[in-house]
Amino acid sequence: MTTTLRSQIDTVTLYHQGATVTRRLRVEADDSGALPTSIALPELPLALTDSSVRLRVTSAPEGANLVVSDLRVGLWAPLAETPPEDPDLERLRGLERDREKLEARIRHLTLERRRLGALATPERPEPSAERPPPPSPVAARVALERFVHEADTSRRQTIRALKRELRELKREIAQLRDAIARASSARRVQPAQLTKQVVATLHVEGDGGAAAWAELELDYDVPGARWAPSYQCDISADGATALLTLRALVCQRSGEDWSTARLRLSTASPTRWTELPRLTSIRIGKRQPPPPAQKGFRPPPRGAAALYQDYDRAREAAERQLPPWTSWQPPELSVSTAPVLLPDRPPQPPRQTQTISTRRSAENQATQRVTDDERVALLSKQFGVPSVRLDEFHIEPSVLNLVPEEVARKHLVVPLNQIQTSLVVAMSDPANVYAIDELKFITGFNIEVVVTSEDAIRRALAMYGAEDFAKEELLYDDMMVGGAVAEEDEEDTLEAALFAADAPAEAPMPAPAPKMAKAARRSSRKKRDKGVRPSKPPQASREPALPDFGALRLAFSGERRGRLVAVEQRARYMEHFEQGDRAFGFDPISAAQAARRQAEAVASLPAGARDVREEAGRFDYLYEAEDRVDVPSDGSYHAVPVTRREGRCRLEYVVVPREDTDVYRIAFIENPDRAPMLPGPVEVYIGGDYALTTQLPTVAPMERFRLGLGVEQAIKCARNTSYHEQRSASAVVATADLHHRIAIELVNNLPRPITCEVRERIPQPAAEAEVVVTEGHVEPAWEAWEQQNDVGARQAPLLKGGRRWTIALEATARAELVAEYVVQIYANNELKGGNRRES
Amino acid sequence: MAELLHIPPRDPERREIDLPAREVTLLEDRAQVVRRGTLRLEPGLNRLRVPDVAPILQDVSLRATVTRGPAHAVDARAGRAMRVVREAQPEEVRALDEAIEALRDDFDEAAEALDAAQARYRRVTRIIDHGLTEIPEDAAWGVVNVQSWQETVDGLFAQARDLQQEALAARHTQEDLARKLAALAERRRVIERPDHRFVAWIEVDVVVSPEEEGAEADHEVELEVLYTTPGAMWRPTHSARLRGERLEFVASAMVWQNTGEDWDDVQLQLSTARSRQSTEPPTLRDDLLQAQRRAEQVQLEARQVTIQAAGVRNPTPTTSGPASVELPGVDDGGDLQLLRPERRSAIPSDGRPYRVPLLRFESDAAVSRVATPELTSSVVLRCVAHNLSAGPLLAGPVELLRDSGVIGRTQLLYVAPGEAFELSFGPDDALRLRRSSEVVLDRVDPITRKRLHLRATRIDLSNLSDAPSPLTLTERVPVSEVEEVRVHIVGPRDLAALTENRDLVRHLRDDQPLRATSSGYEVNDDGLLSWEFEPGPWGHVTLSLLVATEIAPGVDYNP
Repeated sequence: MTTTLRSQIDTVTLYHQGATVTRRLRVEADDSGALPTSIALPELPLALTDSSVRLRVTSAPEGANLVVSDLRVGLWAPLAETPPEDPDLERLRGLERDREKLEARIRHLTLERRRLGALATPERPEPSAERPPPPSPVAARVALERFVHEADTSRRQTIRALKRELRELKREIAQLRDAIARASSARRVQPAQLTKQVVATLHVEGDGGAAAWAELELDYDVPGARWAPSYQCDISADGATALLTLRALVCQRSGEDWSTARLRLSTASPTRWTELPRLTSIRIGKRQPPPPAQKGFRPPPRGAAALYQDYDRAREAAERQLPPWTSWQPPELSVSTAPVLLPDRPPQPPRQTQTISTRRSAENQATQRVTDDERVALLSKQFGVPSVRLDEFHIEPSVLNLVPEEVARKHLVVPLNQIQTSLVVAMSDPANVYAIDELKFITGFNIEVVVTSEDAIRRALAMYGAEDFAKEELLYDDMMVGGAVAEEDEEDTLEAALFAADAPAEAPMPAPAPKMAKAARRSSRKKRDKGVRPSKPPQASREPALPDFGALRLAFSGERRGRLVAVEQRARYMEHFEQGDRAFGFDPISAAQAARRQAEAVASLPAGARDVREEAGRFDYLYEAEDRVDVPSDGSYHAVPVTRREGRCRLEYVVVPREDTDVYRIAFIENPDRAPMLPGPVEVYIGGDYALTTQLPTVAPMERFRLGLGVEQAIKCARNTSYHEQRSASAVVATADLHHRIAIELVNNLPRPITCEVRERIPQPAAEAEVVVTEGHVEPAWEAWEQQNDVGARQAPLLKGGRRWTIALEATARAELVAEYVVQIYANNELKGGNRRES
Repeated sequence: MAELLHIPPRDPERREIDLPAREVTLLEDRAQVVRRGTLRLEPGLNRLRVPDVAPILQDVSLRATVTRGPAHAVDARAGRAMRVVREAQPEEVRALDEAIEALRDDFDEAAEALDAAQARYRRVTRIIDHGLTEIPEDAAWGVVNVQSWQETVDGLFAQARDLQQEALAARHTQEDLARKLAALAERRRVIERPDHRFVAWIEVDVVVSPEEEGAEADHEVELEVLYTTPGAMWRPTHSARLRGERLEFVASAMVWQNTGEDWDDVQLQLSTARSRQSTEPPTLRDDLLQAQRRAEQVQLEARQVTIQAAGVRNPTPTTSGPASVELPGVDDGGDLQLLRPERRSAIPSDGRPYRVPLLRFESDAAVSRVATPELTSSVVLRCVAHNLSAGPLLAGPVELLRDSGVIGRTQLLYVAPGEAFELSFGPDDALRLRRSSEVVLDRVDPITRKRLHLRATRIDLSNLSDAPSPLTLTERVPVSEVEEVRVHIVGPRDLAALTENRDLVRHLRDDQPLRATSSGYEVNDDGLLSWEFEPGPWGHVTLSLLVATEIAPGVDYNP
């Protein structure tokens, strides 16, 4: 007896794509004082990844040694609460018949009206020979008209009454139909009700004794959820501190709402189950053909099929002796469809579906114009899996053999390479987790997906069947016997090898064998160079990776009798429904697949946000939300608070009076977190007032970043210049000295001291120009300044002759700055663009 | 009341006895079943029958012996028959047939009524048609009788309407009757359909020869029947549970059977023995040696060699297997194993797997974190434990439990008693690796024609937890077996020497400054290079590896 338990979402760990959900639940002992042994946890999202489900006991009474095992994932739907009464089908049938009769009656009356209406007005009869014409039959016509009118009126009234009756009847029928439909849909599972459930066994290990309760934790992965950081920066009015709030924009469509969940945000990808990796040693030596494959595991036993002989013989004999048996045939009936007394219904208008469907396929073709390469690149990016060009791969036959041809064709996958317990598989649809699950089950390997185009897969699938793989090993042996490792032209290509392999395998072909082997080696080397899969064991031996024994059944009859067959995924999924009589109006397996696809297709990142994994650089980081949050499963972005930290802040003022006398505020804020701040939009508030929204670059931990806050009106700046030319003659040449003087006045109207940077630029002679620039009197002293090194102004152009003052000003103080420079040119020259360089 | 029929018929004189399955020896693809029971038999020949045995049993393997009592078994053979169960109820069939007949008559009657109504309707409408054309004619000639027109026309139309309703009613009657008939016909078919089952029994002839002459009383005899049947198998399966520093290991057998007979309470024996047919030794093939002229250019290649560690069994087979669910044989390490579970088992014949625990032990477990960034980006928990049980652990899948929950599945090869073995307990979620590796230089010296190849690998590790996590990280460098190729790891001093060569530096492919191999590594003869370190809480560590390969002129080798 399985006990159904409810669980609560506790923690959600969001990765750069996808999320791990942790739920908590509590099991209580039943009346007998023991914990239930079989527990079911329903109402889990349909999109969850089956292989990621983990269940563990987090706490239990002292001394109880509880173990959870035998996890199975299936589908689940709630039972209808009260089975509704069977509505009266017999009554519906009676009403339908009444309706039919009534309609026939109305139709008939309508026809009668038409017939009467068509009654001819009588012509005056032709006069008989040589007699005056009879009088005009006006009176008769009038009588006839009255007759028709009266008959018509009475029928119209009858029809009206009947129609009223029909309306009543139709309403009654509709109500009854509705009741019937509701009753049957109550027994029927609705797509929205379908969820997944996890069934597990909970048992007490050893002599721990009975436990009265236990707390459990359930983990599973859901695909597609995404997050991006955004910030709020509250700078205090005095500019000394800044409150940095990290808010995450979170989007998910996993099929369950995350309510009051503790959120953890990671820049990494979710982990997959990994076997103990083992590196092989690389030895560089003389090239020679690889040794033949070694035998590893003991081969499966043979000969059991022969034990069935006696059974087969006896059964066949018994079946032959069975008396012939013909089933009773019921009498043939033909229900007359004849009583169509009056023209039935008007002919139906021609259907439009044909044209619609053709139009749709034309649209499809248009969208398919995205080239294969683009699609592959897109998928590769979307799912974070590498992409390959299959044409550049030689696939080892031993690897190809790992996946049966029909499975490969069904899911359009090609096994490429096998590394220890992982199998690298090329797919055109990396979202097809069902294919991955099935491959994982069939081969027993962990499946690593690379993406490629569907066409390339179809081409590669042609390798199946075209080759007799057992033959290739033979050919290797032949080659060693011949001892002729013919290193022929280096130009022989993979295609040549494939072509050789395409030839009928029955014919022994010693000649192309060395080519083939060489090509295979070369291509595997190529693979390493490309860095797709760096390591590969020398050759496959016969050691299998074992499938899950729990999902194997021993067949009694049929082709695989006496051997094990895998339980189909559908059967495993539908386990919960075996007993119930629930009907599906849809295919539950494809509903589950659709839910997964929907979860994967979450919205792209909001404007201004960047992919966290790319931005995190070479390391990964984890951000934990301080409060519990809600994220509904609606596929749109929700901003949730993550952390609030106070950082030190310093306001600086910058003025570039040559360009603009406005004084700009710049805040330098320290990242108070141990993790970097990832790029994202930031809303800036100063003293509680909204100032602006800008973009934040990546900020390393404890590093400072700058935020431009706009113009500070309380600091004023004025710049005045003067200019005069002076001719000076030395013994050799006459020169013109162009004297420039800059006077800057700075006033601090703020009630606190400030530091202000005043940026200037003096002109510099161009290369090989006959111009000399000399700095004159500067009060107070300034310093050289390189614009391109200035923090935050990364796109600033390279500047020659940059100068700056850093002025500390007390509250309501004033400062005057003076700078002079002289440009010397030959007296008979002038500066391009005018001699006066300051306006 | 059901009629039961055996084809071919059974010998009616035999006495049916209850002889339950008591012992089952399971092999990798078959089972040997022992049925045993104590019977009271009369002196002389007793013709007995054991019903409902596995129909797929092998006849030649059948053997019957008397293990106790003054009797001996003369003969034993298997009998099989198709059991045909037919619900034979002539009364009901006759009643059904009659009901069907009656309904059929009603149905035909309704059809006739329908036809009649339609024919009449046609006639009436014809009259109306005539009337409606003739009335204006009459009127034109002055015969005007509105009263009679109304009566005639209305009367006729009303009659037509009634006939229409009549026809409809007849069709409805037909529909009802057809439905009733279909229900009766289905019931009739069910009664007729026979139920087939193929059954088997064992016929045993036992002769009781009492020691005392002329004793007429029954004698107690213990009879044993033994036979082999396919459709039953077992494979080893294990579960390992890691709790802190202790590993609890349970070795079990997974048993399947679908023989057609249930084993309700049997002592199982699980054997790795093979039947005679499959023990033919493999054949050998020639390796004829021939010499050939050596190639001018030295052809080199990089070969991958699996390193075997004595003392520690590596649990995961490193190679591939067949794709079907054909399980491989049980690896018994060359020793025939016969395992007996402590308790008796009940294995129904449903083809489902049943777990039978064989032995359990606890061992100290050394848990460490290992990382091989070249193969996987996760850090894996490695657990080394010892087989402290009396028997070996046979190769099979292992269900891994951490503390209280299942975390994954791996598999184990044969582990002898006392031997150490390692298990992977999955990735450590808190540690993440990123690795990049690129060739930064590949250049042939214009003067010496020597080729220098530099590969720089960089590994960045993040600890996403607040606990320090010590780990061992392993990378590899190729090992040269020939003098033409020299491989060395470039340390800080070597790098300094390298970068003095301006010409080389100009050819570097990377804009990033070269990083020398991080210190603190150990390298063994197989070229496996490992660092042991401990990233602190929320810590980040970067390791770099710079490998230089020098290749002599005239050597064809691609690193």
